[in-house]
Amino acid sequence: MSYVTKLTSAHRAFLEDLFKENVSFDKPSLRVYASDASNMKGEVLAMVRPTSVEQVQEFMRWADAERVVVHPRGRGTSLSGGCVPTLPGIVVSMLGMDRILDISDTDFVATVEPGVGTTLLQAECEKRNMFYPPDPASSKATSIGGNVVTCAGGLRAVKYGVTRDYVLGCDVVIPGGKLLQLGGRTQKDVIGLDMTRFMVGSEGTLGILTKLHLKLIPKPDASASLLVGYSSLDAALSSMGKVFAAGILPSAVEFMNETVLDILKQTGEYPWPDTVNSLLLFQVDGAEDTVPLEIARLSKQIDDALWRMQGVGKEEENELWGYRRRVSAASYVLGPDRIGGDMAVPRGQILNAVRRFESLAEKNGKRLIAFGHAGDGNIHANLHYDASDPDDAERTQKTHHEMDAAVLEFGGSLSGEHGGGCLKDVGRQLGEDEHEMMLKVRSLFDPNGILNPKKGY
Amino acid sequence: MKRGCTQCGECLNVCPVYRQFSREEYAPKGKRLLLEPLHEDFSAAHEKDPELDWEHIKELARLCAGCGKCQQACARKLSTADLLSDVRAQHPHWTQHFWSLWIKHMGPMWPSLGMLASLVPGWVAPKGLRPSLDSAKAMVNKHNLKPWVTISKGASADVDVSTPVVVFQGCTAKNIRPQWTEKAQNLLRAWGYEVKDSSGFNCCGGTMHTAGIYDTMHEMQQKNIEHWRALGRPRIAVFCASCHHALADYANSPLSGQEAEQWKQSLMPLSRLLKGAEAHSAAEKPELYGYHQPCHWKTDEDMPFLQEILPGLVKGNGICCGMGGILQITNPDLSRNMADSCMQGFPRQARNILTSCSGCTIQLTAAAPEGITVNHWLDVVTL
Ligand SMILES: Cc1cc2nc3c(=O)[nH]c(=O)nc-3n(C[C@H](O)[C@H](O)[C@H](O)COP(=O)(O)OP(=O)(O)OC[C@H]3O[C@@H](n4cnc5c(N)ncnc54)[C@H](O)[C@@H]3O)c2cc1C
Ligand code: SF4
Ligand code: SF4
Repeated sequence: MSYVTKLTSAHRAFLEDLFKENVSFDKPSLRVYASDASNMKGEVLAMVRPTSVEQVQEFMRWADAERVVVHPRGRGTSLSGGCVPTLPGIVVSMLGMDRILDISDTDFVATVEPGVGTTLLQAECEKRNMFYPPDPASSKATSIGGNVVTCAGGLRAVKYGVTRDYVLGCDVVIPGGKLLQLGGRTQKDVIGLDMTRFMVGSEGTLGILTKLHLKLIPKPDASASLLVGYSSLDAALSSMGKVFAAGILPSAVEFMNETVLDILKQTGEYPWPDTVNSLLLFQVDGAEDTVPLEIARLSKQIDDALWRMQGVGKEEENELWGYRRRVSAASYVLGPDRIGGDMAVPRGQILNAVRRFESLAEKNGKRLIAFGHAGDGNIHANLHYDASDPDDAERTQKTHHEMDAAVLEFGGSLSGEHGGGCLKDVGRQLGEDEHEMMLKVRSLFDPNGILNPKKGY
Repeated sequence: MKRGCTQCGECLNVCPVYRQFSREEYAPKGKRLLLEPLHEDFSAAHEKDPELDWEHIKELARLCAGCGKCQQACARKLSTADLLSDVRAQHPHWTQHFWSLWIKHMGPMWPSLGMLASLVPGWVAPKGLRPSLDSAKAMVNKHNLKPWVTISKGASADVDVSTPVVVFQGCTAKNIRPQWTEKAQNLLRAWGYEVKDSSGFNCCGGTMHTAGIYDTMHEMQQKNIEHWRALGRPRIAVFCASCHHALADYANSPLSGQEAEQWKQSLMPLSRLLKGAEAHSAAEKPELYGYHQPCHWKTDEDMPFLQEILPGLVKGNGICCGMGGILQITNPDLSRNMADSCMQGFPRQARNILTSCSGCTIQLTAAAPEGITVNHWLDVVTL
C-alpha cells in the first residue's frame, strides 16, 4: 500500500478548514508529537486536535480516501512507541476532547471523552464516593483514552483487575468515518460479539475512540500497608503464597529483588536491618472497621519475615510506598540509560522467571533490577547502561532480547502493561493462525491500513 | 552530558501554560524537547537541527511563567524555567534588555507610569496594549483598604530575638509599595527584634535570571550579599515569595561552603518571625476571603500564619497568576489569560483576595474584576 508522504496545498486547506486553529504544520510544534516516552522518533506531517466527534468522522473519511496515515495519540506516555509515527502521518491528539460527560451514582457509570486525565477522573469519582480502580503508575500523566486503548494495568490489578474490566462500552470512529457505538451503560450485555473488548488494548489499530462508558464501584474508605523484609526473594515469594492460601486478597502486592535493595541502600536511608535483601509491600483496603483486622490477619500469616513495618492511613502508608517509589530514580546508579521490560508470567512462575532473567543478565555482565506486581505476575525487568559505551549498549540489548525469549518458556507474555507498540516482535508469542486471524480482524476495520501501521500486532 | 527529558509526562498537569491550551507543545515536556538540543549540557553540537534553532523555536519555547511547578513534579527534577534562561542567555533578545532597563532604571518611575495608564480610558487602548496598561494601573498605590486585624506579640510567643533582622523589600515594595517595608519593620520591632537598615539591598535578581541576563543578575546578587555581610549577617525577613525563591538560590551560587549554609539559615519568610501573634479582628474583616498561593514558596508558611490570625481564608484553585519571569513582557496576553483563570478559581463570595508575593499582588490586581480587591496580607494587618 502506498501512502501520502507529503501534504499538498489541497490537503492543508482541507485540514485548516476542518480544524481551524487546532491544526499545526510548523516543525517546532510538531516536534513533541514525533515521539513518546519510548524516546523513539518518527515523521509527523501535521497535528490535528479534534474537539468533536463530527470532526473525527470527517477527518477519518478524508484520511481513508486520501490514504493518509493516522497516528492517534493521548498524552504520549507510551513506553512501547505506540504514538511514534512508524510511517509519515498525521497525529490526532485527542486532548481536545476532554469532557467528563456524566458520573452517575445510580448507574455507577462514568461517561467521558478520551482526553480526560486519568487522575482527574479518579478524583471526580472519589468526590462522589465512587471508585475507578485501574491505576497505572503513570496515571497522573495519562489520558483515560490512552489507558483504554492500551488496557493499562497497575498496582491494584491483583484485586481489581485492569482497565479492560471497567469498560462497558465505547464510541469509535473507524477509517472511512463510520461511528460505531459498542456496548453501553449496562453492567451486563451478552447480545452480539463483545466488540468493546476488541477496542480495549487495540493500540489504536481499529479506530479512534471518542467516548467511553466506564464501570465504577463504591469507594473503599480505608486502607493499610505492610512492608516486609526477607533474606532473599525466594523467602519473600514463598511467604506471599501463604497470604493467598489463607484466603486474603490484598489490593496490591509488590516485590523487590536483591539488586533493588542494593540500590536503595546505596542511594538513601532505609529502616530495615542489613540482613534484609528482598522486600514485599502489601496493601489491603475496605471498610474503616475491617481494614485493621485484615492487615493484622495478613501480618500473622507472614510469620517467617525478618522485619516488618506497618502503615495505617494515607500518611503512614505514604512513607512505606516511598521506598517503592524511590526504585525508579535509584536505578540510575547502575547507568544513565534504561531499557525496561514489563513481562508477565503466571503468578507461580515469578521466582523462576526472575532468577532466569538475572542469570541471563549476569552472563552478559549486567545486573537486573527486578520489581513489580507480585500479585499478578507482572515483572518490571530493567537494565541500566551507558548509551555512549557501544559495548555496554549491545550487551544490554542482547540481555533484553534473551529475556523476551525466556519469558515465553514460562508461559508468560512479552508485555503485561505497555503493549507491543513498535518495539515487540509479537510473532514470537502469538501462534501463526492466531496472528493471522488478528490481522484479518484489523483489515475489516481498516482495509487500507491507515491506522497506526506497523504497530501493535 | 546530562540525560534530559524522558517524556514521562508528569509535568503536564501542573503547568499553568499547558492548562491554558491542553496541547502538548505548550507543556514543559514540549519546551524541553525544543530547548535541550540547543543546550550543551544535553546535546552535542553536531546534533543540532537548523530548522529547530532558537529563531524557529523561540515563539513556542518562551511560553513559560517560570513558576517552577514542573521541576517539583519531575522525577528527574529538571527545571524547564532554568533551561529556558540558559538558552536565552545564549540568544539575547530585545525584550530581555527592555526588562533589564525596566528593573534597573525605571523602578522609581513605576508609580507615575501607573498614573499615566489610569488616565487612558480602557476602551481607547488598542487591544494588544490592554494587559500592559492594566498592570501599569495596578501599580498605582491605592491606600484605601482599612486593616482587618490588629496583631501583637502574644505573652506566650516563643521567638528568639537575639539575632538582628533585616527586611528584604524587593523592587515592588521599594518602588511602589513602600508601606509594606515600613509595616514589616514595625511589626518586627514590636516583636522585640533589632531591625537593621534595608536600603542597601537591590533587586533579588530573579527576573534577570529568567531573562537570561546573567551578568546583571550576578551584580545584583553580589550587592545584596555585600549588604548582608556589612550588616553582620543578620536574619533576612522576606515577605515576597518570588524574592525568597531567588534569594534561596544564592546558597547554590554564588555562595558556597559555610557562608552558603549561614545564608540558608538566615533567610526566612517574615511570617516565621511573627510567631505567637495575638489577633483582634476589626469590623472591616470580611467573613471569607480568597488566598492566592504564590508558586514560588517551597513551603508556604504565610498561609498557616494567616489562617491563625485571620479566619475565613479560602485558597483559590488557580495554579499560577502568570506574573513569573518575563512572560508579562514577552506574552502579555497569555500572562493575562493566566491571571484571569486564576481569579476564576476563587469562590464567588470572596470579594477580597490576599497573597504573599509582590508580583502576584500586582498581576492579580490588574486582572481583578470591578469590585474585587487584591492585596498583600501586609496591607490588612496592623499593630
Ligand atoms: C513512567 C511511566 C510509568 C508507566 N507505568 C505504567 C503502568 O504502571 N501500567 C501501564 O499499563 N502502563 C504504564 N505506562 C505506559 C503508559 O503510561 C500507558 O500505556 C498509558 O495507558 C498510555 O496513556 P496515554 O494517554 O499516554 O496514551 P498514549 O501514549 O498517547 O497512546 C497509547 C496508545 O493508544 C493510542 N491511542 C491513544 N488515544 C487513543 C484514542 N482516543 N483512540 C485510539 N487510539 C488511541 C495511541 O496511538 C497509542 O498506540 C507507564 C509509562 C511511563 C512513562
Ligand atoms: S516553570 Fe511553570 S510555566 Fe514554566 S514550563 Fe514549568 S510549569 Fe510551565
Ligand atoms: S516530568 Fe520531567 S522528564 Fe517527565 S516529561 Fe516533564 S520534564 Fe520530561
